[in-house]
Amino acid sequence: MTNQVAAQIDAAAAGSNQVLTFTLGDETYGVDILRVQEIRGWSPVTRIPQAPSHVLGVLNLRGSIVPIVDLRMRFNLQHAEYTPLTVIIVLSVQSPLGRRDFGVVVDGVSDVIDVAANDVKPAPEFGAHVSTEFIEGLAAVSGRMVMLLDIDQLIGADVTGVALNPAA
Amino acid sequence: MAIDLAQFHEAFFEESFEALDSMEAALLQLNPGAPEPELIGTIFRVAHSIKGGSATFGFSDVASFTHTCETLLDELRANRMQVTRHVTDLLLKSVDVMREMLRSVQRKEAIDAQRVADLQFDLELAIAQKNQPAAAPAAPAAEAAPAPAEAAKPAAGHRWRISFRPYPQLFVHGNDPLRMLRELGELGALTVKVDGNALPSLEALDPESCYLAWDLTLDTEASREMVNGVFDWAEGDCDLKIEEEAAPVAAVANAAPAPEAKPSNVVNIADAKPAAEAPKASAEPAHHPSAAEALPKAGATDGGSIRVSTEKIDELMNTVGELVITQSMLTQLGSKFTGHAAEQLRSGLATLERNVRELQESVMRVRMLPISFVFSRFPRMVRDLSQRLGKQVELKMTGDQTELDKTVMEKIGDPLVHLVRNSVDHGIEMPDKRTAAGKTPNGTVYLNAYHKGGSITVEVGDDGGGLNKDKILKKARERNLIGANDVLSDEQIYELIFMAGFSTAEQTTDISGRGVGMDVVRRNIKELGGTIEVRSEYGKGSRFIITLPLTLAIVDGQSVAVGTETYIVPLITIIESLQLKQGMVNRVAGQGEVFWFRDGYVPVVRLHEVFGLEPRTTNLHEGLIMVVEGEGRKVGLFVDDLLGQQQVVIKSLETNFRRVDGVSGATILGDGAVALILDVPGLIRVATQRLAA
Repeated sequence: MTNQVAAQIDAAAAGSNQVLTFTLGDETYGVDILRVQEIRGWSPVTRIPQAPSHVLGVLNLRGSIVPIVDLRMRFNLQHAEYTPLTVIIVLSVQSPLGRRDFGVVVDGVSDVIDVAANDVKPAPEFGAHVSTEFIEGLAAVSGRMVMLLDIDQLIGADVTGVALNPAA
Repeated sequence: MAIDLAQFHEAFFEESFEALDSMEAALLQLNPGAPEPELIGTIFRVAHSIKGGSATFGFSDVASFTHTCETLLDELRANRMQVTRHVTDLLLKSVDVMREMLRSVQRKEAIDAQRVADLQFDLELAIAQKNQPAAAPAAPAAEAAPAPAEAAKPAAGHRWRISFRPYPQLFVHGNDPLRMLRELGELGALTVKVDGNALPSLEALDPESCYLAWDLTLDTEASREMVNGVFDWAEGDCDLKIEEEAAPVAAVANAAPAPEAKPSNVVNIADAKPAAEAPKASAEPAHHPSAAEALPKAGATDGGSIRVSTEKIDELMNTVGELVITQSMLTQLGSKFTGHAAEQLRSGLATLERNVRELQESVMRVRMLPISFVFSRFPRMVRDLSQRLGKQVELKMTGDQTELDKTVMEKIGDPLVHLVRNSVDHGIEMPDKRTAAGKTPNGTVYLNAYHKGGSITVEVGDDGGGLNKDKILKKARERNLIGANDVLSDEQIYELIFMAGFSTAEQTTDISGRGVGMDVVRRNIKELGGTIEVRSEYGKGSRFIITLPLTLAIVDGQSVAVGTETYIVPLITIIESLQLKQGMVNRVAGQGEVFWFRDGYVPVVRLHEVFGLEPRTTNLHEGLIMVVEGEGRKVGLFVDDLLGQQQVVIKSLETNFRRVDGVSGATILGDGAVALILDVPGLIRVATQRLAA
């Protein structure tokens, strides 16, 4: 017991982060819990003209208009049907123009886990086929690999219109 | 004092700027020769409270300058000096200087010391000159610090016994008793007795609390109001009793001291309710009429409003918006129930709906302010301009209580200033020219505001020379703005003055005539979703009519359906909605579709194509055509269906996303879904580019 507490304290000192994990198909991704505003069920969105295909549209989130991004489409995974069980995670990103809120559509939310900074390994280079610039690192947690997302890289460009990486 | 006074600075600046505005307004109403004592009182109070505040906060430059103003005003108030045009000019300049000084202090910039010193010198000169014949000793009395010379001058009049017992929290509000004592000292000979009975032992002493009390005796000619004024800032933080004692020697002449010494005469500042004060004040004998008037008035003017940041109001609007959605959801749900209880439920829901709507309207109204906030700057401006130009111009303002949204107000100020300036500079002729034309030598500039439908109309007019059509045409030809032989209607000619770089003034003055302006005026008004038109008759005057939406937060919209999506089209852009019959549509070069509308061919823009949607029908005669206008161009917008008209609250897409071409914002519909609001001029641009591509 005391050892566990001590380990946690060590972990905090070494820069431990709480991470919300979610699944897309067979893969597990993680985002910094401090970026998560809320988790809500799927509801139909309003389409936005001339938006990239993975920007599904906008939703009303307690009076503010929030864009919704489909992460499966963003990652070129196979498209899944939207059901009432589909989940939207509302995140906030820091963009050059200030804080922006947006929602990502994922298959399901799994857990909140602690990830110690020294458990995070850089993503290997895959060459041109797989772009990894929005993956902050890979962490092995209880035998599973969690991909930690750099959401500012991933979404910031879509939301502010400053294209870093043209929609695939 | 261990308190950081800086936290009060902003409030002080805001209050002072407001106070200066009211001082300016009062100065402009002041009639040279026959000034109303009430107005002078107002002006004096402003100068006084700015002086007090800036002394407390340590803005010594401001305090010193304001002190000089106050001295001059005191002379005016005591009728020792005449209100002349020169004096009003000086005081108006002082208002400017005080405003600038405060602004410099606020921004922590250096004060233009030379300008201040010059004006201060002028003020002192005015005081000195006017005082010579009438009341020579009065000037040093107000100027000098507590001098023994004054104590030897018992002719002063009153002996005030003041019991000043601050509450412990006095310092918290930034009050400094020493400053007040010093100020009292300036009014006359002051005897101070400290009452230290409340002082605790050293270990129990809280350095941020005030434990001392004072018993003061003041021999002065100052009225009760002036003595009271010293304690203005401590109101509510102290027990204050001011009583008049049988005055020393000579003062008996005009005073009736016996009734005054009674406690019924005590003015308790801690009790600021005007109702409570009024009877006390009126109980005073007749030789203090100014005090009796001022007290209830001061209470009445500060009590009515509070300061709220617009952010808080926006939050409130959002919450109310959510409430509206929840309410309409409940109403839909309620209609599904049956039975006796359901009837009650529905009547309850109907009441809820009414209350929610009223709530929403009230919240909207909070953002509305009377247009007098913009108009108030014009009397001063017209006065200064006409003086500089040697013209006689009278400003007539009507409808200054017409309300409009604060955001619109902020943006309409500059265009109006420009128009009024133009009217005075170009519109109104010189007095001799006016007389020659058979007009009165003094011209009139009108400002008029009124509500019309869902918008506000502001008119700026003058009875001056009017627009010279021939001159405008000649100039336009010189600049190649129109062809040499073009024939234009009156309206088209007047339109020319809104083009960039166009000015008919023969001479560029520092006031206007550089040709930048009217185009900016029109652009600003268009950005607000408004229009401007000109009516003019040569030799009789011109009139600019500006129509603006009441608010930028709400738009009257027509909802239209395209496929599964709903869009809002601002009602102001719609000219007509119609259904095309087969054969009405012609093709141009096999591509662009046009149809005849009123007096010309109008191109068809298919909304589903521009926005990439799947429509219910692509057949033009099965859907509807909505003729819309943007930036002078008309197009026929093809949609599936019209749904209904409603007022919608505009929300920005850019808060969390980015700008989208052809869309000006979004709104939340009754069922909680989001609908995009179309930006018609933008949409026309996008559509034209598509056709060109």
